[in-house]
Amino acid sequence: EKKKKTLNIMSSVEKKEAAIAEAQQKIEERKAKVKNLLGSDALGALKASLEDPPKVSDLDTKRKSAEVVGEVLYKNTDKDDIEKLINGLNTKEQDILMQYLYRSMEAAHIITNNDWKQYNSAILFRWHATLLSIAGVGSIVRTISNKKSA
Amino acid sequence: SLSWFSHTHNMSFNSPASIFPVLYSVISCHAWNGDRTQVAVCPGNSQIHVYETNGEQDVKKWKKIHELTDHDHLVTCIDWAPKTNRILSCSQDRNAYVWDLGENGKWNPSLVLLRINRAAVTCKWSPEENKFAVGSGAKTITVCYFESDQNWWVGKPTKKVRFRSTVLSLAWQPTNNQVLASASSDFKCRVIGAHLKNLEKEKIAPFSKTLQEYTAEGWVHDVAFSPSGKYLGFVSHNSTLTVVNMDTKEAVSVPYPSLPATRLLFLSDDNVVIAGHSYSPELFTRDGDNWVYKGRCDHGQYKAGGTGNRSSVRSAFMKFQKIDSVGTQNIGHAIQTRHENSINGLQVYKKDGDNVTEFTSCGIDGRLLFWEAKKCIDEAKL
Repeated sequence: EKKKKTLNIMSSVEKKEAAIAEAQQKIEERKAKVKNLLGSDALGALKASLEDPPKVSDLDTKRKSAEVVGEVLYKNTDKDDIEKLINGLNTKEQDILMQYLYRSMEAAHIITNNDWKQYNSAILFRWHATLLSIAGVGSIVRTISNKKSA
Repeated sequence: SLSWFSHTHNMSFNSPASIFPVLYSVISCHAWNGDRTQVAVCPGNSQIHVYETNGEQDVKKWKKIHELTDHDHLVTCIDWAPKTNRILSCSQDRNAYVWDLGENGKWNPSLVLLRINRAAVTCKWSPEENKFAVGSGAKTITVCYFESDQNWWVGKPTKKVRFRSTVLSLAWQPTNNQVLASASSDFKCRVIGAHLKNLEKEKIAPFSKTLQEYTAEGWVHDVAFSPSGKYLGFVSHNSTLTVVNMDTKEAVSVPYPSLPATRLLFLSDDNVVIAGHSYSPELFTRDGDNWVYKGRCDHGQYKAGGTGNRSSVRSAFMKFQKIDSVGTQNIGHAIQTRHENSINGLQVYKKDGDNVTEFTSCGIDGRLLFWEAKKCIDEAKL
């Protein structure tokens, strides 16, 4: 019976690892999709990057997912462009974008890797300010209260 | 629109207190009598003050006629039964009282045997007013009825319903006297049965049975039924309104852009207002099976001595645009909503058939304000 118990513990760890691997696979697919749309269709690229946020609680996976969104954020830096793009999103996508903005602002992995070229807080704050004026403080409230945030 | 910004820029020294007079420093709850000539208010302490309003909306013209002082701690909720004219009050002192108006014109309290070891937080008379429910921090709902041979109100706790935290609010379904919806800080809205066999022969909803359960992503602050009982709405702390169609049991979640609301009130089967930390009622309208956020009913046009002209709103709008681009905060005139702090109570004032035409709100700024439903619906479309 003891052997059975240890086997059960292993399988739950394996389940988690499998879920993480699956999530990271999806992130790779999303990254490729976004790369295709990035030059031509900015709104499409943004929507694709916000699709299907990872539901695993692994921080590494979440940061990788935020990097995909970051590529779109850093490509569109003009204030009017940002406003147009955010207005093209629906409420759910705006909430997900707010979650990704806070995740991108964490920059913990960039600090540890000392790769500051990937991080531009001015652009992140510009996106944040515009998103706040359109989606309201409610989107921040939902980011805080959401246990399974992106 | 940037109108929801007003909560961050309310400054009390600019307050138009002369336009909307303050009743107290804080109001914790209020309730109207059946014909809306009297109102019971708790001024944030253990007392209940009853005012005779005579239909006046200016609080300075009200006359205080009673002070009910039997509670020992903060009175958390008051409910005034319209037909039987009984006041139900519950308090953090773990008690509830039912007040009857005696022959001598004084309110006589009858203690309710709740047997809870935590604060009573919310209380509501059933539609037929022969029983009431009290929600408490003891993680229970106690349904109380009058035991005539012992001449007091006895409570029956809903033991089979497993609340994990405080029950914050209650609402009886208006069509039958047995279905009770509850809002709890364990993130759930539960619809439970409250049938009592000594009061009702027909068992529609068995006592203490959970009929429906919905999960939110934050404390569920308040729950309410629409006038026909067809829709059940609840507001949760993640700035979301959820409306359940009681026929299909399907729930629709509608996020809104402002700070969380702590109260809601259905104006009809098609319109619902919510109010709370954004200092203003906000409107949602039904569109088929969906509910759509329409906007705030109070955009904050009121300045001391002003009549609320649109150019002042426009200049405030420009001010915020300037702040956004320049990055400085130099606010001379704040956008002033009628309430200067969170709203913690919404009550029906006037009805046209089943639909609400006027309602009142009370807040922790000590104001009790009147709202016209039609005006709210029009203002929210701006």
